Amino acid sequence: MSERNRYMIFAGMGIGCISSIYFLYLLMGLPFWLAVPLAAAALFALGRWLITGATVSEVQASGTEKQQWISLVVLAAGVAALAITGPAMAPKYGGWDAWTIWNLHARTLTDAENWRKMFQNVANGHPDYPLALPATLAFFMRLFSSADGYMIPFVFSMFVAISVPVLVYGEIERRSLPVAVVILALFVVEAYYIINSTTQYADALLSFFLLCAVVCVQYARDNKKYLMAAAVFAGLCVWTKNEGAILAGIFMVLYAPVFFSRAALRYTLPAIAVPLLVVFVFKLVCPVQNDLVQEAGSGTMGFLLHGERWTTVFNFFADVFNQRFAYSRWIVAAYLVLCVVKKRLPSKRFLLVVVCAFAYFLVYVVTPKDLAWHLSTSAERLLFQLFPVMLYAVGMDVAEMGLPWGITTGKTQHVV
Amino acid sequence: MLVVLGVAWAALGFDKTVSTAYDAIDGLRDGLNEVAAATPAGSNMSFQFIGDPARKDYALAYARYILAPRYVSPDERECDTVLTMCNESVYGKVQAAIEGNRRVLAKTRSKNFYFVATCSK
Repeated sequence: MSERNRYMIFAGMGIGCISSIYFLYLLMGLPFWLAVPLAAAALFALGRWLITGATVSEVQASGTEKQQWISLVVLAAGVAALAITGPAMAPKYGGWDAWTIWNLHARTLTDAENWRKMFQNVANGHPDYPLALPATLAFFMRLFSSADGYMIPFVFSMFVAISVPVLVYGEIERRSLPVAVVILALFVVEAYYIINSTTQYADALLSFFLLCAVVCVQYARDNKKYLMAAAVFAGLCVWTKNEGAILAGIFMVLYAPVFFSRAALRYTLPAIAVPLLVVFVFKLVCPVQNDLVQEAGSGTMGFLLHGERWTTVFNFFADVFNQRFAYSRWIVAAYLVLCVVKKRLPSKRFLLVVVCAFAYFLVYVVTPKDLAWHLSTSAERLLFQLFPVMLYAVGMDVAEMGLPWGITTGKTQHVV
Repeated sequence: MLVVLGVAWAALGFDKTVSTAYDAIDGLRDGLNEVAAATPAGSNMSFQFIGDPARKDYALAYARYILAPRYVSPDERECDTVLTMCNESVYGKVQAAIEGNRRVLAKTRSKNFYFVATCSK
């Protein structure tokens, strides 16, 4: 993994670290002046562990100096484009769910004495939602004494919005710069991406964690710290949103040979246990069950036999894909054609996206809520969670296939 | 470094391009901030909105957001402290009913709304 991307992975893990420490600090009633150095010390240790000590295979794929400069200039242009379009599309206080759920929770968590009031807001307040995003925001709101403002949620949303393409670009450009440029351009021009990133919902953070997990697992066989990092990120998916458990579960199952081999178990289990323990403590403290789980009865599974529900969900998903993935759908189509031409199956990374999308599909088929309402209020966001991994998977696969026009900047490696 | 620069750029752009735009939360902020100053952070409030019922959901959600960490209940009979929001066009007609037998903790006006926080005497 490049040094740049190790910093991105560090940033992702730092978010998980800060949110966990802040939540535990609230729970234990410690003074904030103690939480800050604790978080700083944890970040320092994390940084030393993640960023230092690259193995030879991690750094061997680097192009000439000229290529590196071209790559950097392209990346800077992409970041600048996102930095310009993001603010123009961002609602000031985020979307409805941002200020009625995520940012509201964050504002409540800034009050060390009264933070449990969050759990009173049962009607539409979703107090069972995990706290990776609200606790991180609350930490920085406290740090900058800005619980009233709207800048911290926005700045954080932009940080995630920019970090995702930087990480994807950094991975793909080591295989093929042209492919990396196309994928970066897709992040910039796809309004769907920047709009959903700046709504200040937790979906963007979840997509970032899932992406980090998938990126880390590519290096897991060569370096055990990435195996551990991938497991931690899977746990952080659960700490970010309830449906993160579905994504993390599918991810762990698909990569089971990597995570659960006899040699890997002693790294995987302690790594994933840390975030899952935080989630477990949160679920113990939170007196409210998830509304979907609560409303689901024995008859819910009977919905699986209702053909019209399958059709409704399929049509909605197809509409989202056709309308929201305005440009990227053509890249995905081209990728699938390429797989046929090259007589290659799509990679496990792409399979992960497909299986996760199908899992979400099934969630809608059996939802106890009004199907049309449930689809219209959340399906687009759920598919957005898979968008970065989808572009990453397609980009990596195309780069590794070795296109005739591909000017590779390094050797293809670490394919798990 | 690039990411930090990008975020900083976006933050500067955000302040210029969006913060002056109309936002319903801003419309209520001044009035509710004074209510917040007059009520303890640990208090619970009932909420009543007098006027167009279609706006009640929004107004409740805005109030919850601005008044956090206070819990704002949608049931106006649930808590002793009651936050009443009403349009200025109806305030004159309902003022006695809102404030008559109760102690007024805060009363403010912002845009076209009155915000009155009361509790029992």
